Amino acid sequence: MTTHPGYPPAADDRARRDQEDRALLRAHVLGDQQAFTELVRRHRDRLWAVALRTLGDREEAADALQDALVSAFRSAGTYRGEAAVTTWLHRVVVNACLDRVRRRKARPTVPLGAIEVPSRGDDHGRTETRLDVQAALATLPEGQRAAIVLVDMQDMSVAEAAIVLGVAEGTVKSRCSRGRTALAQLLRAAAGQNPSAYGGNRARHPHVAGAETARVEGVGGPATTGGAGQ
Amino acid sequence: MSSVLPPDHPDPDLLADLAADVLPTHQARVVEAHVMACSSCYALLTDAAQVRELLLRDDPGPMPPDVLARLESVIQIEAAARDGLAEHPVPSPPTPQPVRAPAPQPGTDRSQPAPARPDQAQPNRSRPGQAQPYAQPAGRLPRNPLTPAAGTTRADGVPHGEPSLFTTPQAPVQPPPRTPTQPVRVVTPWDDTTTIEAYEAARRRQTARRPEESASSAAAATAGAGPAARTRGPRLSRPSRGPSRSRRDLRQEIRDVRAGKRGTVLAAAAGVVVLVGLGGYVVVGLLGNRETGSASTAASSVQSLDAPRPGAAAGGPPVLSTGTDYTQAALGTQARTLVKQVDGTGPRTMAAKGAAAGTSPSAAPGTTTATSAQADGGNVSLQDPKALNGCLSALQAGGRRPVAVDLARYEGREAAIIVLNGINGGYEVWAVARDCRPGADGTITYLSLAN
Repeated sequence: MTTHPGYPPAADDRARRDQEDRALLRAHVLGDQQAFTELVRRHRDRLWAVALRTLGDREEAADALQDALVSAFRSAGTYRGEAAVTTWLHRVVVNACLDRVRRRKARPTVPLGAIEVPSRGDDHGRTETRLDVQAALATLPEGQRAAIVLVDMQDMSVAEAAIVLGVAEGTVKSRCSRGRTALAQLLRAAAGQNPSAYGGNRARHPHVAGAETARVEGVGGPATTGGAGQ
Repeated sequence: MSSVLPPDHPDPDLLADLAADVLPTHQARVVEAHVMACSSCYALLTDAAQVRELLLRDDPGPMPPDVLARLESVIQIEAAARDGLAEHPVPSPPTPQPVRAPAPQPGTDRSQPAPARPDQAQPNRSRPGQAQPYAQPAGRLPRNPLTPAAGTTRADGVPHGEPSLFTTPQAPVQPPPRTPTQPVRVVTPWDDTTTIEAYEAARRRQTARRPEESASSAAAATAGAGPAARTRGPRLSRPSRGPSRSRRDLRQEIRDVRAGKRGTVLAAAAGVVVLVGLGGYVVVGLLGNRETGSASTAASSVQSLDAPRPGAAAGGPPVLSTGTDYTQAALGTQARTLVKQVDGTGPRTMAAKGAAAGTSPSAAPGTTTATSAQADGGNVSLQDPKALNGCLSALQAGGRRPVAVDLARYEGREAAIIVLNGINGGYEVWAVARDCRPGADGTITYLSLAN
């Protein structure tokens, strides 16, 4: 995938792709052995991005995707097409991820997911951004995190995210905005230690509310806070 | 979110809600007035608005090849299992409906052409009694599955059931399947042509009642990941579909049929039961659980307070009260023992087996009795199927039927042990508070058991 996963295709392209998705799903329901695999391939990068960003851990993301896709495989016959296939798939994946977040809470002895470490080939700036963002995301309540991931990172519309998350649009807006505000505070605090990490308005207002500062100590550098926020 | 402003600055969440334009007008005015006068709050909102730019720059990269390979192999296994299930005669729904399929796009870019792969599945997906729109060599993806799909009436004749993912227990609106052959329900405005917007409006009406913070968990529990969150009522009148419907659907329908709930059940649905009876392997296993579970319920005097219904086992899962003291170390073994017991393969021997498997001595033989269950007195709540369902919803397993429930102890404390069939086989074992209910699942521990 050469384009940024956050950029959705143009509207007509989306509609066309959804028609293809629906055809594949029908083929799958009718017994076609490869149609579902094909469907997964068409959406793999975006679904991967959602899972990775929501869970913050590569293995957990893979596990969640596996759960989700098996579930989708089996329940494909119940898809009726109110929403786009990709919306449906996202919903299954997001639910699987949130399910894992919740289970992780029920098993506090299991190590929390470590921050995803980007591959070595990444350029330095991007690596730093990734660490910053992922560490900051991990501190958000999962509801806010999921909304932020969908709307701000996957560039999904609020309406679609509301369907995916099963909440009202106003709730999505509120969660996104709250998440952004919390991230702004976090990243601003981080930027106080590593000015290159964040180019916001810190010069004007270096510290508005530093309540979360401690949680992002060192975020701008190689050390991270682990799975803080769970 | 607090509706009372702190003396100095509004809560950041309140500021955020102002920015999101979701505050009630009177509150918005107050907060806005503060923000206009407060440079730091103003700056925070300005920064927050820029966060999105930063987030959009984040690039997690494509799905790693090993993850893709793993997912594909899992899907292949699922496909093989499904074919195993589909090898039995299935009533084929008539398909007089005109083709409504989107025209195939012959030239569409299939960005990821499926490579031919070794056939890991059954040699032939033969389904007697059913047309095979895809009569291709097993395991081969037709070069473009879109074309045959659109060219056959079956593609549309097989109704896609209502979207379980979009179904909530309190859903007032039931999207009816569009099947002229199934004289089940009046068509509501919801059908395949319904727009997302219309759906969303209905969705909003449902969700508006929920408290904000519980909304995500409630939605996850009810909307769920596919079959994991099946709701009972709304699914009943779904007409028959092809053999590839989910096994959980089948389970649910079987359960409903047996419980006499499907007054409007169609002959085709009964055919599904026959199909299952004939031996879809997974479903038979599950059904077997239930059947033998009920047998052992009678045989071993394991108490099931599901009694008011005739043939109690047709309704709720076996709820035992074995007196076992489950331990963290032995939970897996103990859970398997419990499953064996409800399977009927080890009635009456639970306590002994449990002891051998490391069960605490408190699991005295003979506690597996009706009196034991009744002695629990006030703890019968999970024996009520409704309460149990509520608990399952709290565990985000609403609608799934437990393999077994044991009102027992965990690490010396009263607890309920709930064993569910794992989504990928195996079992999920939950130890929860006995008063596990929506909003307070009281989860003590969770364990996933492989097959």
